Amino acid sequence: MASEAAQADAGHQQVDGHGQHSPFLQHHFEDHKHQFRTSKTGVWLFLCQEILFFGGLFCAYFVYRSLHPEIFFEGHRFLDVKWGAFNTCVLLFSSLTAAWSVRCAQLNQQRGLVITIALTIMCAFGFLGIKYVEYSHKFHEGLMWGQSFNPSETAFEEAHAANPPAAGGPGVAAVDKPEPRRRLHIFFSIYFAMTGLHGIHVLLGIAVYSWVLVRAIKGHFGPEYYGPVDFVALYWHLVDLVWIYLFPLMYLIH
Amino acid sequence: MSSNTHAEAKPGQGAPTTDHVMSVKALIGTWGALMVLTAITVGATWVDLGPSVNFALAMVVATIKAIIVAALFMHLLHDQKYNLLVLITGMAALVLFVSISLMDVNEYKDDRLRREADAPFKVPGMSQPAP
Repeated sequence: MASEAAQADAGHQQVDGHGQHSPFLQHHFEDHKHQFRTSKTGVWLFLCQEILFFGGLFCAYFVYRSLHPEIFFEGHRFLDVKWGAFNTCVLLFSSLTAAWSVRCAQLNQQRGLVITIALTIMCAFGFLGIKYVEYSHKFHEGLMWGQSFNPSETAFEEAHAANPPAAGGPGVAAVDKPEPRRRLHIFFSIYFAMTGLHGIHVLLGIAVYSWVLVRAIKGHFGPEYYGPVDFVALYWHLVDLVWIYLFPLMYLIH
Repeated sequence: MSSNTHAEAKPGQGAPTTDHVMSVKALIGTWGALMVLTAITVGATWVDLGPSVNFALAMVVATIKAIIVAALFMHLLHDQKYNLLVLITGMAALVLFVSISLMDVNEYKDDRLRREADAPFKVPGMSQPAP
């Protein structure tokens, strides 16, 4: 490496073509910082698209709730606040481990990086496990979307025993009228569409985090190159953000 | 080329980062704040403040949680301002989308509810409760 020209020449002679610099730095970026910032803005644009993607369903929710608040009040009584709150805690904890994994990568704590990513994946599985318990109970009771909605009588008794309406509250009137019952399938259509799409995002989160976990075990990440760890964490936080709104909108209707 | 290329260091594990690193204290504190806000929003459902106040409270708490996650966990507080601009643009588009839809729906709300009440409502495959 006597001169710059020789150095460049040596670079071209290597099989991977990356020469002296890291194989994780794309040729069209000046340095890691340039690559990181560019990719990050791309990820933010993707997240912005995700917000609008969920936005259509949120719009459906707000439009229908403004027209028929009583259906949403009646519908939320079929959901178990305990499971919803527990799942919120699971997701918040996974957000903590996701943010922590970024710190570990930045500080080159390889062991911590693998542990925090593994914890995040475990939390994601835990979340889906609880959703499975909730969904299977709904399926069993016939609390489905649209035309499949065919609730058993025990479903109503159970829901009303678990969440008795407050005296004089909107629930009393809602129970007496058959109307909310007949239109209840719309609540469940929106419930399954929103939590289902969110669940698919959790599944995708598990997939991308598994990829990052494998690379973390191989020791690919460190202070210089930790883009994928950060970007997957950003995506994971957005999934958490969506749930932060879904939880009160679905489970905590007063 | 000696300081940032250790013999044992793998690619990508070179020089220390110049980006913002969250301290353990900040990580735990952020998580703790989110847990406390979750407890508040669940607890608020046991207090009857009227449906609209309860709803507004739940949305305000959710938005505070969202801002905490975006600012700290998602590093927006220490990030390029451009990324914050992307997020705000997206949120603004969403708010416009939902609020204009709601304005339109509420304009014809009475009419629509009257029509719904007149028309017999039947869900195929579902046993109809006695009126």
